[in-house]
Amino acid sequence: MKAARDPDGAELHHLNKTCELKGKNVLEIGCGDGKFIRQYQVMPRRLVGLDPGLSDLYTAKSNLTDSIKLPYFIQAVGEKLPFPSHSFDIVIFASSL
Amino acid sequence: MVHALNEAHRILIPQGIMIDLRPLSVDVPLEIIYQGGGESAGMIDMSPDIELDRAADRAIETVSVEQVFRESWVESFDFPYYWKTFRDMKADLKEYWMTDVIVPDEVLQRARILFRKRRPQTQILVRVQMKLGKYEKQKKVIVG
Repeated sequence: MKAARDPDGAELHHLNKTCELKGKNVLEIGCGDGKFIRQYQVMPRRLVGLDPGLSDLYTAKSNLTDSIKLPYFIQAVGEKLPFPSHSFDIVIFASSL
Repeated sequence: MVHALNEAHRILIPQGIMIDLRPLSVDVPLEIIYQGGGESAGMIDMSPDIELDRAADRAIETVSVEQVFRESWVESFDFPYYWKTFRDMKADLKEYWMTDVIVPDEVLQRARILFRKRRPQTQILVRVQMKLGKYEKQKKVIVG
């Protein structure tokens, strides 16, 4: 996209105001190419991005910046989550409901 | 959507939080901004996705009524997109928003006129309205 999207980080600001991500196990459903997940990747203890689109997930992974905390990316749909019960503190539906 | 919300309920810990973060199908102005001011060229029609929006709202309502999740916070906020040229904006509209929004021709024409006034630091701005809802996991689970 050629636009400057949310350059002041309003989306992350509002998410941070609403819930504490630091030290939590977080799942983002509908992570797409990882634009949003990259903004907060260092905060959670464990972060997983999930999306049905494989090419988006490749882009998400290749665009990651160096960090000691890197998110995992998984191809799946929200209706069938490949995780055991009680395994996340926070689930974010990112434009995916 | 309700299935996805029930799956989210399953994988959340007992005190878990579900966040619904998405753009709303609310018409917004196409603005030309510049150093010291800004003007609206008219409204962008965001209605093409309104049925998806309503379906998501209905799914949230269903899981709230069934006590799968309890709403604890809902707000809306601006998610801005800035373009420095008309060409860039039209390219993005074509590639990413073609099925999501309708920009009437008269709005585009007026925006072009305002843009060509060449005031300092002129940019095109669209502030999409976003919803952020926070929902707490409840004990009850929908069966079936």
